Formats: sequence, structure tokens, C-alpha cells
Amino acid sequence: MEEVADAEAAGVVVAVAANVDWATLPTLGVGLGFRPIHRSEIFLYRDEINFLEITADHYFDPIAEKEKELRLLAKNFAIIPHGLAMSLGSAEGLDAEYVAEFTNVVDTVQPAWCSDHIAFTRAGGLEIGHLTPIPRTKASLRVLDRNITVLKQSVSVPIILENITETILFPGEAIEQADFLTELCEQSDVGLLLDVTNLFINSVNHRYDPIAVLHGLPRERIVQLHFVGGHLRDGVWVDSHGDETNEEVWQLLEEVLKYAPVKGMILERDENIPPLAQLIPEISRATQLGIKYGRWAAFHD
Amino acid sequence: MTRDRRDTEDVEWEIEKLRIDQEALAAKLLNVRTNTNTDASSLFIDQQQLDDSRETLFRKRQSQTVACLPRTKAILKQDFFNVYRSFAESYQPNGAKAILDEAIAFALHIQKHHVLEGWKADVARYDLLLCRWKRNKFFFTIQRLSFDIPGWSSESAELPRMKSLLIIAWRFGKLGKIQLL
Repeated sequence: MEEVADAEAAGVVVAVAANVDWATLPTLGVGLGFRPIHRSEIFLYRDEINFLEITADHYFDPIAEKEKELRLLAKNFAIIPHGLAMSLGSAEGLDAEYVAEFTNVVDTVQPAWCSDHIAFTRAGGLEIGHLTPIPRTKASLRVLDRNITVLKQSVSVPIILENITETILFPGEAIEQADFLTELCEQSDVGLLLDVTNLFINSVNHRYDPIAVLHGLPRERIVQLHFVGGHLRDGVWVDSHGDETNEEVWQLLEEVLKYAPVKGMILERDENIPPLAQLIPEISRATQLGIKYGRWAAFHD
Repeated sequence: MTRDRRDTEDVEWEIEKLRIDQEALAAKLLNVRTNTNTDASSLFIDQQQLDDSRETLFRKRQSQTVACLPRTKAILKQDFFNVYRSFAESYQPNGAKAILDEAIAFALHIQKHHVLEGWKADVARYDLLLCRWKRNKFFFTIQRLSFDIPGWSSESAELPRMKSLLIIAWRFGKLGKIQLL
């Protein structure tokens, strides 16, 4: 504090990021993870689709045509950029080129918030290409905080982070899941992008109560949700992003909406992508659930 | 030494350990040897979890490579997957454009180790050209094809028409074009 006061007294401008007031973020409703296959159809469903989540990485270093697509989408929908490979959990730090490209996308669409994952994708010069879990330890929290601090120097909108599927468990993890996420939110002033499908899959595969985890999370930080269907393979639930949302996930979504002042939900389909008309019933059902729990009103009545 | 300072040093030591463990895990998942000494890692991961994650990752990389080289995959069929498996064992993906870089490296690997003749050679060259054009912010190349690959659908039962084409592909930042003459 003294250093800041001294610097101010000396006439030096000191940038101190204000804490985010999570309650004042805009309510976006229910939307879709944008996939290029829906490029034309998407405009037919502006009444049903309240906002779009774009994969920021797909617009890195864009040619004019791709940039035009991004601007067209941003003109017609609220857009949330979602990064895949920021690697915020990397102990070696962030890739400056990736941060710069991500920032360009954020600056182009001026979103209400942006998102990435609680994971690492890069280590020792290797690009894993897949979201890899980090152990729930103090060291991981410190690494996340360092990297988030670096990201915040470039990105000026609130940052929310997503829970991933726990494909690897680390022996001797010191911190419970809900406590880890709560500590992360508080120390680094980030929100949560709660992937409800991942929460369901992890709870079944690793035998814990998802509701108990949910109720351990800071409710005002649960800003956005992801949902989609997974499937069972050899007795293990797989986060395939390729199926209709299953009933167990719908039930958990209902619990989340009952518990937290969610601002937006995204249907995140990546495999076996059907024509958009086939996804609309899931979007409508999610919209109705949000209305039921007073998270939003009907957007286009 | 104060307790706070000791705690900070402990966390710094834990972070360094985490860095080494992440490096070791990345190498295990990608099934590659790295130049760094990952033996320093004492990370223990359940073998089944490691195998499952490794296979998931392999399939993901393979499908991304197919998406970048769709025509090449169509002509090589099962051979594409056979060649990719051996290629992937020795390739180390890195950088912000890892997917395109890997596709380019694999396309070059095919050209080097797989004898493709006639229209099939044109198909592989055209896929490679498109990847390079997307990958590089500043790019210029002229390529001659003997078959109409740009006008051919890899899902079509028919072979591409014989037609001499000159392709000029250029990119200057956001501006770029692929011109067929």
C-alpha cells in the first residue's frame, strides 16, 4: 500500500485492477457454442439463441474473411470468447503470443466476460493439445494466481474459469474440490464457468456427491454454465460433447440454477453435430429452467 | 528465518516440483522423449488413467490432422491412420499453432515416405498448400497441378478431372487469396 501511495504522490499513474462486482454482470440467458457448420443457420434462430460462445483460438491471426465472420456474429449476438489453450495451470507461465492473440479477440468482440479452463495444456515446450488436470494444491493455486495476474494485464473484462473432466487423479491432493475452487475465486478474483456435465461425469466416475460440491462453491461466482450429453464407455462416463443432454445432467442443472445466480448457459456440442433445429429443443428447455428459477425472464416474448 | 518466509520458500519449491511433474506428464501423454531431465519427477499416475488419457489425446490429434488434410485422408484411407500412428510417436507438437504445424509436418512426412503418383500426388500437395496458407501470416507460393483438385469433392465417387491449373496463394496479414488460373 505504501508503495502505491508513494508512487501516486510522485505523480506516477498506478493501475490497480478493481475487484469485479459479480452481481452486476449482465444476464445473457441461454446460448450455443458456435461451430462453423451452423454459420448460415444461426441467424434463423436469433429468438431462441440469446448469445454465442466462440472458441477464441479459431479467430487467432485471422484472415479478413474469418474476421468478417467474427464481426458479423458480434453484430447479431452477444459473444463470449472461450479459450482452449491459455494453459493457466502451467507452472512455466503463459505463452505471450497466445495471450496477445486471445486479447485481440476479446478487444474485437468486447464481451461481458471471457473464459478458459482450470488446466494446463503446455509444459517443457510441448503442446499437449488437451486440457490436462492440475493437482489441487497450494502450489497450483499460486501458479494459477500468477498466470491470471499476467492475463489481467492484457484482458480488461472479467475472467471466468471452467472445471474440466478429472481424467487423471493426483495422489496426495491436499485440498477438497469446492475449497480449491472457492480459494481460486477469492485469491484471483475470477468467476466460475461451471461445466455441469463435467461435474456430473466426475462425480459418477470418482464416486462423490455433486450436490455437496456445488453447495461448497461461492454461489455469486457461478457466472456461466456449460451443458451437453456424455456417454458411458466400458462403465466410465466420457465427456464426448457428442450426445443430447442426458436426464442426470438436466437434474443437476436444475440444482445449479436453484442455487446460483447464473448469468448464462451454453449448450456445448462438438461431435455428431446435428442441424441447428435439432439443438433448439435443448436450448428452449434450458431457457425454461432459468425462467423457473428466476434467473432470467423470457427474452423474446 | 520467519515462518512466512519459510512458507513462501516451501511454496516456491512446490511450484518447481509442479513444473517438473507437468513436463514429465506432458512427455508421457504425448509418448515422447524430451531433452529435459524428466526423471527428476516423482509423479505417480495410475497406469490405466495414463493409458486412457494417452489414447484420448492420440485420437484427438489424429482427428485434428484429418480435419486439416481431408482429401489426403480420403485417398489414403486406412493407410492414413497407419502412417499417422508411427509419425505421431516421434513428433513433438509445440507452439500456439500446434494443430496446423502438425498437419504440415505430417503432410511432408507422407510426401517423403509414401509414393503418391498422378492425381493423388496433386491431392496431397493441395492439402499441404492450404495448411501452409492458413498457418503463415505472410505467405506466397505458386503451384502447378495437373488435375482439378480444388473442384473435386473427396466424397465423390468420381476421380478429379484432368486439367492444368496454376495456383497462386498469397497472404499478407489479414489479406489473402488463393487464385486459380
